Amino acid sequence: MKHLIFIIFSSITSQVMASAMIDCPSHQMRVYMPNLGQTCVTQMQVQQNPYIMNCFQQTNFYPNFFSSFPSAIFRPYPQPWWVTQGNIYYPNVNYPGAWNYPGIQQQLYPGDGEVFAAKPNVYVDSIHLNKEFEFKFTSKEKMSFLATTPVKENDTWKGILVEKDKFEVRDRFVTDDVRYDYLFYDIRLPKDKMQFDQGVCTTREEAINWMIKDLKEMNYSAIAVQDFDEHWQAKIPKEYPFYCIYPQYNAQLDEALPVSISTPQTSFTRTLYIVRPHATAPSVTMTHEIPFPRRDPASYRPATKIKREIMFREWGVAFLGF
Amino acid sequence: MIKLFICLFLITQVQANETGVTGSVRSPKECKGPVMVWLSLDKDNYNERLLLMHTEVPVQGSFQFYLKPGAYQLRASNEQGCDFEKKITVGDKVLHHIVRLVNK
Repeated sequence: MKHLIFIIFSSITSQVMASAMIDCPSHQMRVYMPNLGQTCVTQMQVQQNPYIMNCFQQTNFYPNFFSSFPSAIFRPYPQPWWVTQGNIYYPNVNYPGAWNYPGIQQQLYPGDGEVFAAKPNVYVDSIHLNKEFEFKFTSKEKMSFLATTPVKENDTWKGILVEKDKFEVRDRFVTDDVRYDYLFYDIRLPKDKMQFDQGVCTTREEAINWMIKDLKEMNYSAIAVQDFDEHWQAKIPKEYPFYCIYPQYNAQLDEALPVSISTPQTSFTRTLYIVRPHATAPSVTMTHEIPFPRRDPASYRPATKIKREIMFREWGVAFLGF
Repeated sequence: MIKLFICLFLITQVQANETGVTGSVRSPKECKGPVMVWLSLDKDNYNERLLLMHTEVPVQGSFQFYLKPGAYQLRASNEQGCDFEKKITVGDKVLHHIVRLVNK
């Protein structure tokens, strides 16, 4: 009996100790490195960095009681592999870019436009297999792209719609077409072409849930919604408890960034959520660079009930530049 | 002469609009799966090495970052820990790099 109690006690103690051993001191965070296993790296020290002075304001109004428990008991939201790796090299992986509350440090990026549209991803749902397509940005005004995957040629992606959410795109760097799950771009857009009348203000968690529900109601594919959830759970800053969301749909985006798609019987549903973090609960009496949203955006969504032979859909999240 | 001047002006404008870096991803057989390509300021100090943009690229795929002239770090890694690192200086043209992952 004594042996049994000793074995149980030893087992519990060793598990707790193992968890405690990989807890990091303050100002450090635990990351996984393939060659070292779990290890601690220094977190972003904002005091030393003039670019990100306001990054870590003390705005954590809802401390998590369980976070002080060993990891065997407290399991945080699982992170994608690239967040764990990125944290080894960069202090701001969990931000949408170079950050300065309440938005992006625009002086570090080229081009014009106060709205930093991060990661519009374009997905496709086609009844045709192996259908040739051209996707062209047709604006006559100067466009301020920040990144694209794959490389565009004359503001155009050309290739084949292989199957649902599979593109094969030609580019000048390879002889064979390369298969992509989605087309990606980052771009700066003019604030005066966006709407700030319709939207919702809520907590961070509910803001993400609201956007996911919005995408699902517009029939975005499961993989598109999953990509959105994985990416923005990681990239929407966690220390701000409140967010206002101003959805931009086709009515705004087709004018701000027109696109032509060569395939017939094609629809293109566009969604870009401009989000603005708030350190304190936002209200109609507060004055900011954008107004408090006053109308429910649900009725302004593009019509997505009618099915077409080929349906492109894009989602993105944008932050304001300062 | 005036036409030549206008042409030179337009070429300069195009180049001015298109500064940055393009890249294509190559990977040995043992490095499988998509690759995350990272673009940051070129700083040795971790706290100053701000990540500006990143994009997930399939092997053989391509990407473009549009950048102001300056010094940057281009990194790439995959889930298995294969990686690539290069310091780049962006001037008034678009640079091209082959991002060749190494299995460490």
